[in-house]
Amino acid sequence: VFNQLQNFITLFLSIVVESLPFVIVGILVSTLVALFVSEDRLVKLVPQNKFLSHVIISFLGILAPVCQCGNVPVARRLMLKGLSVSQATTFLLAAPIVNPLTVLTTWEAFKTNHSVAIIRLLAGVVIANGIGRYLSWQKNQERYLTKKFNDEVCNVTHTQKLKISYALELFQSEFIIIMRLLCLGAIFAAATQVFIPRTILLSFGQNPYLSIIAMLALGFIISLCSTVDAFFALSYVTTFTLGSLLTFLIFGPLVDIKMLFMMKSIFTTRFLIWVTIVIAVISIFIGVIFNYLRL
Amino acid sequence: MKKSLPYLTILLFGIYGAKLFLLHKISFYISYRYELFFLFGATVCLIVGGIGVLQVLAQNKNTFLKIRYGKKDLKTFTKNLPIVFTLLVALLLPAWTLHSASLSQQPVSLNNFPISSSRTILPKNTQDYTFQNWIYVLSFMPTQASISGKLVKITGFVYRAPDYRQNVFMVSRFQVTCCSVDATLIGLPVKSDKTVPFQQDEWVEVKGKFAVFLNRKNEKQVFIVPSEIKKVKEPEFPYTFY
Repeated sequence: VFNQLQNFITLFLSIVVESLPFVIVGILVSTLVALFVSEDRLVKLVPQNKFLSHVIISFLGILAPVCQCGNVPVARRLMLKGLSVSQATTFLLAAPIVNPLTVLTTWEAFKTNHSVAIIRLLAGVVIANGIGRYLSWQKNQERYLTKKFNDEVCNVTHTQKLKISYALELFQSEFIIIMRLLCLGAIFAAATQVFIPRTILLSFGQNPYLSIIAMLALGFIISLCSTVDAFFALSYVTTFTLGSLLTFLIFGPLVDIKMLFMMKSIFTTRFLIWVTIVIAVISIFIGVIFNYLRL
Repeated sequence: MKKSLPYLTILLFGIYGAKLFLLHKISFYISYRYELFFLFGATVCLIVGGIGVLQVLAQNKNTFLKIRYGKKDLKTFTKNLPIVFTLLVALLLPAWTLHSASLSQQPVSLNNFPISSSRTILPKNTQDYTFQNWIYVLSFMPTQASISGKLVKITGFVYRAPDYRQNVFMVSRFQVTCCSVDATLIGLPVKSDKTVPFQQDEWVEVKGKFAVFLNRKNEKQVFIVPSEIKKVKEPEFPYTFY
């Protein structure tokens, strides 16, 4: 039991240590946006055409190539600055995959089959835009936000202060909100890893359908950073179907235990369940097609 | 005092980063490639947390120690328990590496190792081969006989699966891509002509040479035949990184 506990603590701290710098970069970007980007300028930058605005937002990850945990504070800030729920969701879902670091590492890891990197990128763009566009057709998008965050969005004071104390205040409040959920997510992710034997999942490796479900579950549990998960997936390339690895690479960065806890600072549980199911179904579908066509 | 708590929390995360750096323990959790990035994050925490605490102190010189706690504070404390737990564990407990008890969770892999490519340059003397060098050679060797007789000197921990005989074990390391979460066990099998007295997870240095034997499934498999096995201290960098 002591050894298991020791492993739990190592894995748990490993998730925190790995995520911390990404969260810091995200909060720094969020603070800079709060200080230097006015609501008017942001509205001017985003095209009026809804389709085009979502497409452009889905490529914002290119400017700030951090993994998914760094994007949560940025998405929160963008909403406080006037971006709609659908636009911020598009950013949140696209940025972990549609960023240069993720594309490069996937390309490098799967250099014998570049279709993995290409399909991953396309899937990221399509899923983020699809969900974003669907939300944009809804009348009352605010109902997807938690009451607390919705109040924050409604009562935001549009002042432009440039004092250091104001920047510090923004940084600390965002840090506490995000770290609280990151730590909770890390506790759950590490506990699941220690107490659910991964060997059960790995025994499904070569079955074209079960392997996909197994890798989907693995991606959900281990909560890896999107910029490096391709190398991790590569270590399964001889034991798992390529379609299942693709499912892992698409689903993992968008939805995992740690990420769900962090997104809880913005969205309601109901919305998160809905998003998880939609992304899981699409990721499974892509994996099945990939295995079927043996690309 | 209450106002300084968020800044103090940020400062403590920075102190944790400094602790890992000074004790050379960052590699227990993440790959060396991300150390600088982690240090950047920890430094920002130290600066922001430090300035924040000093600022609150300066603004509340006289009232700083006059604290009154109410129900609301208890609620805030409960809400922030995950952070409190993290900081307690991070700052008070020593840094541990992964233990082989996690092997029911982690895959044991010798052949699934992602080979980086033909760029691998091997040392002239096989006794200077690292774990990664051996895995590379084992993955690309044309026949098992081609490795037979090669001298080997390798350090790793003892891993013995429940069905292993007393004279067989794997001299092992955890292979990490990004962080401990993705650790995979890699190992070289050792077959001695007598019972091996070392315990699970004990760090050993094995000297010997490779030979081909038939395994339980009657398949040919390469093993290290040890000429010497000695107990050693856990190395400063216990994982191998891809």
